Amino acid sequence: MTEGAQAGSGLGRSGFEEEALPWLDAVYRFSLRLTGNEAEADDLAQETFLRAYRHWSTYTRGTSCRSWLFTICRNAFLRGRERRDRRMESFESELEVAVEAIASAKVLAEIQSEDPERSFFDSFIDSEIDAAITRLPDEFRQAVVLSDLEGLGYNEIAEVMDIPVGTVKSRLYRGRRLLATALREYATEMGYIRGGTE
Amino acid sequence: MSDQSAITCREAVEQLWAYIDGELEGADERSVEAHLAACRGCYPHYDFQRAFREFVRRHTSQTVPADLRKRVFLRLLAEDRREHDGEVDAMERSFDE
Repeated sequence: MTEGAQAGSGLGRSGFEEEALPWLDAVYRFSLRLTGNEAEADDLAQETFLRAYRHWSTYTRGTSCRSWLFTICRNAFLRGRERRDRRMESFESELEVAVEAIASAKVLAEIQSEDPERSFFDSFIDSEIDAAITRLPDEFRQAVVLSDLEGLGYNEIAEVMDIPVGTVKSRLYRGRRLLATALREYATEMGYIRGGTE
Repeated sequence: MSDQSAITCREAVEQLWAYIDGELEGADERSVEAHLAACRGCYPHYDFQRAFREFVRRHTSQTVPADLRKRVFLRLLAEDRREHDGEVDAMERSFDE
């Protein structure tokens, strides 16, 4: 009997059920954000776990299994889409990161001044926010999802997206700015907040 | 504490996301913390940015298909069987040779 079977999994790869399978929900959510539809997300999540299972021997115990799975998931997605722009990203300087940080803070400060009672935060329903995230450009959406929804640190996101940490920060801050801008426009249009500059 | 650790509002804003994300440590973290504690202009911005991050996190929920775990598990078991059958075939071929 294998070690995995002794642990009650019935699977041939020792430790896979205990370490990898608990991240299935997170991988599915990430898949859904990448693909934008449930059927493709379902396929991508299954594909991710099959690939992970086949290459389980390459996983280093004690490292973040979640990051490892997200990396496999993203690579499978990119291969599926035959994306050619994967390596287009360049190193972002500290100055560029700072500019993005300030720009995103500025958008939020504007919302804050338009909506001192913070009704902005109570107005939306989940599907409106989901839709706004789905509409973000791929690379910004991935950074926002991995950080804000899945709680990965900057180094982990850099590993999953195969980009430098400076680029992670830049994309994350820009993604948040784009998301805040989109939600602000929507909230203004729907009359949730006053909007505009008076 | 000396003023050497003091940072400007601009420097604080530049590092605010990293601070909110828990990515700063040591002197950098303490500098932002001290600035926010003392600056009446920056603290509300910090508070709003943090609230926005929490708001996004709180309002996004995806329902995972109920049978996905079972389907993944069955595919992995099938993978085990496929490998096992392949090993048996290879063994039988080696006996035939």
